[in-house]
Amino acid sequence: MAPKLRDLIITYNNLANPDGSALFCQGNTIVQAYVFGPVDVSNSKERSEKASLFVTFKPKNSYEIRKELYENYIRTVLETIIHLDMHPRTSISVILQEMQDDGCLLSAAVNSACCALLDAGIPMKCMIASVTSCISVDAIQLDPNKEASQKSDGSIVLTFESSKNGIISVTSEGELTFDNIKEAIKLGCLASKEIYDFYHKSMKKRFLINS
Amino acid sequence: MELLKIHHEHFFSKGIRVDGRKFNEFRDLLVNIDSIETADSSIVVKIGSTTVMCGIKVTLNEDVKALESVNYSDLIDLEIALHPLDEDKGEREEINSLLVKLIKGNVLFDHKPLICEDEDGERQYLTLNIELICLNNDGNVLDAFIIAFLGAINSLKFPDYKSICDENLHPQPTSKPSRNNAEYKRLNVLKFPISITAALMSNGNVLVDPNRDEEQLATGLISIVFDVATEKIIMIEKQGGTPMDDVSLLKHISFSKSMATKFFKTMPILQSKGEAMET
Repeated sequence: MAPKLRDLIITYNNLANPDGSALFCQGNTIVQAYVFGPVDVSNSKERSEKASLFVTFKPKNSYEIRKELYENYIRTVLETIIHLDMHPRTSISVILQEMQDDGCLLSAAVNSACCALLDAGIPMKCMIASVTSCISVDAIQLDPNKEASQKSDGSIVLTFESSKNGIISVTSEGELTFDNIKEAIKLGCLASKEIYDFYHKSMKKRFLINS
Repeated sequence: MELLKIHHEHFFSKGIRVDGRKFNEFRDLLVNIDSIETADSSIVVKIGSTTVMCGIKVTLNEDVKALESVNYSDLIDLEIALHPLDEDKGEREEINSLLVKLIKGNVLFDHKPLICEDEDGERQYLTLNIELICLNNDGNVLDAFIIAFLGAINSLKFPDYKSICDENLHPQPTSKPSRNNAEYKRLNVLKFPISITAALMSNGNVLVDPNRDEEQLATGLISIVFDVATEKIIMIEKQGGTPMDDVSLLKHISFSKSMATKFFKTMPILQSKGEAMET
């Protein structure tokens, strides 16, 4: 059976002030992402050889989620895909606001960040797609909602890049076996293609309507 | 930086690293148990010249009494200190949150001995104050921290609730001797986490147990934490860096798995306590 993601919906450029923005829905999980940059940066944070990248994740209630882990994960992913060396002595900031959490929040945040960067026209090496899989004793479930992810024993978040479909980042929670990971990668690979298709379609739609 | 890269790559092309190790070789491990007199359990771990220390002190916990149900993670007070002189590139918070996730997020030991009842039948809780301190950061601090934690929790012996209470009421000049007569309890360790960290280089090499220079040259790090008891993967963290295809990632996982089991067998922590032993 082909893996099934929840419905993906996106609105580009829904905020006036930022250089790029995207409201990304994955089922009932909604993340608003917006990007400022490349803009001037204060002297202390300036880097002479490349742009400095700042990622801020704003959860709805801050005590529940380990915010630094999310920010770190997203920052390291974006650092590898953005051509930071094209804009030295500037800053690019990506801000992600959680609107609604129904499982797979980290994946939705990564995907929305990619969309907002596309919208802002920041040069990137490739696109990224992030997929969460939940592992319980008997089965592995792709893109679970909150209820399913709370019931499961462990989860793994994989982020793929679009050029060679390599894995950029992995993070996991709970106990996993080697076979679980193997299967999660196989499922994630297929699902990531679905997400790239969605990016292409939504981008086309956006420019047809606006032009 | 550029010179450093050329220097290192010259060695990589010959299949070795600057310090003479192979790509999949760990540095020497040195463990010293019970280095701090006042702690209930303490350990100093050296991997090469990376030095970390872990100390555990068991104290009474009044705060958790108010809670309705007390979980495993409520009885752990974790403090992680990286060297303040060390340059900070955001890794401080990263290591911090990874360790909190690993130690508090997984039930690593049986916490029942920490809950006791006094004469009136009231429940009393003990807390583990775990302090992880990095004395010298020469790369791969995460692995060293996890070994130190495992060693400390494994050699932890603490007296029962009453003698800790007595000690609070009548403090003795030195805390160790007063506990000698009391009956010691031990914690039953359920999981034995062993972490294998590797650095991904831009040319595709994977270097196990990177030192500081290699960590700076690397495009990204990949850490895998195994539970040696059940051979399951507790945590897998690859943050950024050169993208890996699925085949090489799975190959690296299975390689790390065999490495972790091998590494665990050579660890002196479980054999006997006392003098430092070198592997």
